[in-house]
Amino acid sequence: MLNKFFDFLKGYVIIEISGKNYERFLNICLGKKIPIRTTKPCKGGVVISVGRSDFKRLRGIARDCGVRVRILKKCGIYHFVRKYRHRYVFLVCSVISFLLLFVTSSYIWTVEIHGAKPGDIPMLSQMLRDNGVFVGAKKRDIKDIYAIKNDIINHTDGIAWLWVYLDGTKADVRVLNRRTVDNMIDISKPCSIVSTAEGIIKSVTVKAGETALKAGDAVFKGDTLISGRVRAFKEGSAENYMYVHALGEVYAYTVHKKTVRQKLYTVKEECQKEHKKYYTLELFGKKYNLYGRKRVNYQTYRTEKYLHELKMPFTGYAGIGILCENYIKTNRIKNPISEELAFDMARDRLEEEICSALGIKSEKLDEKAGYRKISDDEIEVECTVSFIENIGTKEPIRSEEIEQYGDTDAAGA
Amino acid sequence: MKRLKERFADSFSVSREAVTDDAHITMAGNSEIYIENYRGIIEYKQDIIRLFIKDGVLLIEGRGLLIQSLRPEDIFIRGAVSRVEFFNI
Repeated sequence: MLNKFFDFLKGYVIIEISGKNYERFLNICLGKKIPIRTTKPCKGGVVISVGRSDFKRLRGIARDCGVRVRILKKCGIYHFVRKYRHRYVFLVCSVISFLLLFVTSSYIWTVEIHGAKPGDIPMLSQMLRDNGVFVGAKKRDIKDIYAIKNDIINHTDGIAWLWVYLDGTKADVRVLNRRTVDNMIDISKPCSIVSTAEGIIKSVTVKAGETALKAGDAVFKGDTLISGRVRAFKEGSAENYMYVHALGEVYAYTVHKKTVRQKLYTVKEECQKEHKKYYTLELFGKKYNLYGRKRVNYQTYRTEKYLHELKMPFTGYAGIGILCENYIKTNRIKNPISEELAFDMARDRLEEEICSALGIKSEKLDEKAGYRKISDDEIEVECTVSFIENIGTKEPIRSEEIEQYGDTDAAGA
Repeated sequence: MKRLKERFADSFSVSREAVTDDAHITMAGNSEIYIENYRGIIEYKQDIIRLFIKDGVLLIEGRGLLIQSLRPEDIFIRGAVSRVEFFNI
């Protein structure tokens, strides 16, 4: 690799050797320690590439061997400079272009925010602007990326972590949103445990709170299983309750039923040779469509997007890029499948849907599945699965009720 | 003399081709051949390459054979090699 680079710097010549004794020519070159890079046989001879300095020594060898030497191409920096040495305007323009690129690459031209919720983007942009990260800002003015990160993380509620990468003229901001657990209730606040599904109670374990349920009882969705309202009065005296954070597990036999329609064929999209390419020029954060209106007349097509960014050595992304959108025509091919296969596919999907909604420690007891044909190319599949599962979920007790009836003691009943 | 060189190489754990000038041939699958200690090229075409090595001729047959690098001490050939044969002279 390094040798190729030096060859390119020093310049090399691609020549065609033709005649009867070209093998002899190669052997003499080797004997005189002339390194030959790529060789390729051609009609009546061979094409080789030799260094610029070695080329001068070939003339005598060619004469001795009786072969003809013809230059096909001159390559490398040396030949390039030699060719354009009198084109002063070209030279000046090249220097100006390079200078412009280096000057423009010291500014930020694009700020990209990834992973943030759409509602958070204006607020994040403003915070980045306050910290000096905005379109048109000088890169050298942004000194402490860590301070920017810490400032945004500490002053924003919904963001768990944030990264700011400076890649050339692009500021790439990646956001990781804080995850919130919906079912989580503060342990110091009173709550009850209610049912999430209908079923027959198998076992009840109460750690805090009060329940009237026993094994064999039927419950419906939304019924209170373990109440956070605990009686704190003797019979005959005034009603007084203690409100606690209910804790416990309620296992019940439940039945989940789901139906889905399944086609009796699968659809495969096959790419055709026809395709259309549209290019968009990305210039310092702004996009310019090079083809006017995009017209894709294909009925079905697949889209592929590539972004080619101009990256300068040492400075990275220079703010110029070409976005290529390739629209490939596709044909939709229907492959018929048997009713049994369609049934199996739909059942697997239904099982996955049902099981993904279950909590931990759930136990599958039984499964029944069946199907009926509703048209020539469609069946309806029904899947019924019975489980033993924990059906309890926490629900906070309304504050008005607590104020009306009594005390709270979230530490336990 | 050759026997003596071989015995010397064996007793000092030196590779034989370093002492005896025998050709050292390395193949990577059937797409690359690297030959050290060759003497010269006898024939070079897209489907056949014949090399002169010590004590004989090495024949390489295949499709699209291409000499990638040609130096006095080694030669690197690329292409779909189908046969490698050695002829004693």
